[in-house]
Amino acid sequence: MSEHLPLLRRDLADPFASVAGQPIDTARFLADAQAIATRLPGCPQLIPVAEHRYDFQVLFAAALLRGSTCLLPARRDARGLATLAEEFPDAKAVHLTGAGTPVEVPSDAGLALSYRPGNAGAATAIPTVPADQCAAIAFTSGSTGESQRHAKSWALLYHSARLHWSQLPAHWQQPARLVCTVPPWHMYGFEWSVLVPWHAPLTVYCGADFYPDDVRRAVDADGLTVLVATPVHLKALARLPHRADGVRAPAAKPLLTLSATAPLTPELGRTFSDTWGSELLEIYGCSEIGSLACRNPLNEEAFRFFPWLTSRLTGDRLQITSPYLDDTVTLADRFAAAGERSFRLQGRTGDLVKVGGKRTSLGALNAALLAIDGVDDGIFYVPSHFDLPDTGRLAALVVSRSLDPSDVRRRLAQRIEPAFLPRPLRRIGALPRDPSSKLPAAALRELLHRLQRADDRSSSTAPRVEPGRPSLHGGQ
Amino acid sequence: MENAQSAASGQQTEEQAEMARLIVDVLNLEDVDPTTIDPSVIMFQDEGLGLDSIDALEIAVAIAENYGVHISAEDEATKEIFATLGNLTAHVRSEMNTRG
Repeated sequence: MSEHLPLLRRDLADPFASVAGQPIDTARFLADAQAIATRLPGCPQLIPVAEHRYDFQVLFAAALLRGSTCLLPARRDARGLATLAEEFPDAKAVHLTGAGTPVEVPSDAGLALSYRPGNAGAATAIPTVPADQCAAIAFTSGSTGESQRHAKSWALLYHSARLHWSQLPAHWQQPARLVCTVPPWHMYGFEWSVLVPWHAPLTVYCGADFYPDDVRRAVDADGLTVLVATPVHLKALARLPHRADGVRAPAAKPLLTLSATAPLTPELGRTFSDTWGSELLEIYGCSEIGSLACRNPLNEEAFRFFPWLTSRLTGDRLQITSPYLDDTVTLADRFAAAGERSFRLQGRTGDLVKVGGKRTSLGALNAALLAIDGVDDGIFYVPSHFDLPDTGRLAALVVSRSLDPSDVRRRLAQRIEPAFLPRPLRRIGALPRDPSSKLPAAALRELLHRLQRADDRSSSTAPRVEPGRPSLHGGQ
Repeated sequence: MENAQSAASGQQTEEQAEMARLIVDVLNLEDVDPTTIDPSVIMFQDEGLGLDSIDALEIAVAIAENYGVHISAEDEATKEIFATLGNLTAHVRSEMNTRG
């Protein structure tokens, strides 16, 4: 008989989640999951669609109990789901809604279930799941843009979440409310807002948690908070202006704020930490295994890799082995040794880029751009690679006689994810290609800086937003 | 604000034009002429400006900084508010009026 592991390790009476301000204990959460499990189709794979964090928790737990593998695609719009349906013809999308408003789902797009959170009674025992059950498959874009699958056994997810919490310093391992700005189907949000609370004395805040004012409200309540966020969110939170009532940051300080998905600069870390009064921990991870390492972004340059992982540096490539995954994973980033189990991030390999926590390659994006009928030439680039201001986005140049940039943007939007759409997308007469039609980096750099200088000149004379016009500003 | 609500497709009101400039500016959409954003066209779909949730976050912060209006997802209508330029402008105007 194969090994079984518990679904979670919490006391049944522990406060587990806060839904619309109401506490739900572990026993009621388990009863919700067991009740939904009986209503799920017995399909091999299931695509969980739930806008609210508690609904997602219930749906994922229910799928585990039903023996279905949850597919976690990066792209969850109609086109993304259609592509997934081609790859997994037996998969079914299940929309679950309890805390939110009912959803209408066309019958061919999957199954829609609704329920009332906390209303299915209380479980008296913690169910178990086979350790080797394939619990989830995460998807990333590979180096050429094709979709790559990363299968996660229940043992990998269970032990990783258990160890992630236990490796935190003791003063952070306190009962707290967990507020997360990352969607639960994103690997980082999945690990830290769905799985870690199954092993830690955390009450998952399941309310509005995306807009800065919502995060401020969620943090500003009795008790301690652990905030799970990204550099994009930390920047927005640090910039949050005063409200009309004079409130800026919450009066209550988060006990701990986690950041992942992109490097957090010490400057942004300090600004956030000063404004919100929180300690920070930056997490580094990969799609195959999940979280791998951490550092204090204010005073540590190197990431400390978790002690249960084996790491081997060859040149600047780092290979990681987890006791819960058969395959050794070679990380996409370049590293340098910095001490025992410590490695300094040196940058990405080849032309891989990461935007909004999603990975693709410039090669794949360029191919999508050049495939547009009417585009004669074009190139995507990362502004910061050319010492241009870092907007956190990609930019592109396009050469076309028949299409203007907004046409190109519309057509690109049909081929690539919104996160990778170039900002800006600029039309130029020609790219400075050499006779062998290669585009030398130095020539591209010179062109980009020339365009930037022209921009600086025009923007200093013609501001785009003109406060004081007799409209929104003048109407007060 | 009747202008913003009654605006048919295509034509921007002055307030919508100001909001369009703010969006183009904060999102670095240099290739988009703000005057061409149709107030009734969905901004966050492939066919519109192709914006994503990080853009919504940027726009929310810019609106808080410029108009003192804080957008919340507690409001079930947030998706509607962000759907079009017309809705977003009308929401900001209505919040400013409520605040007085």
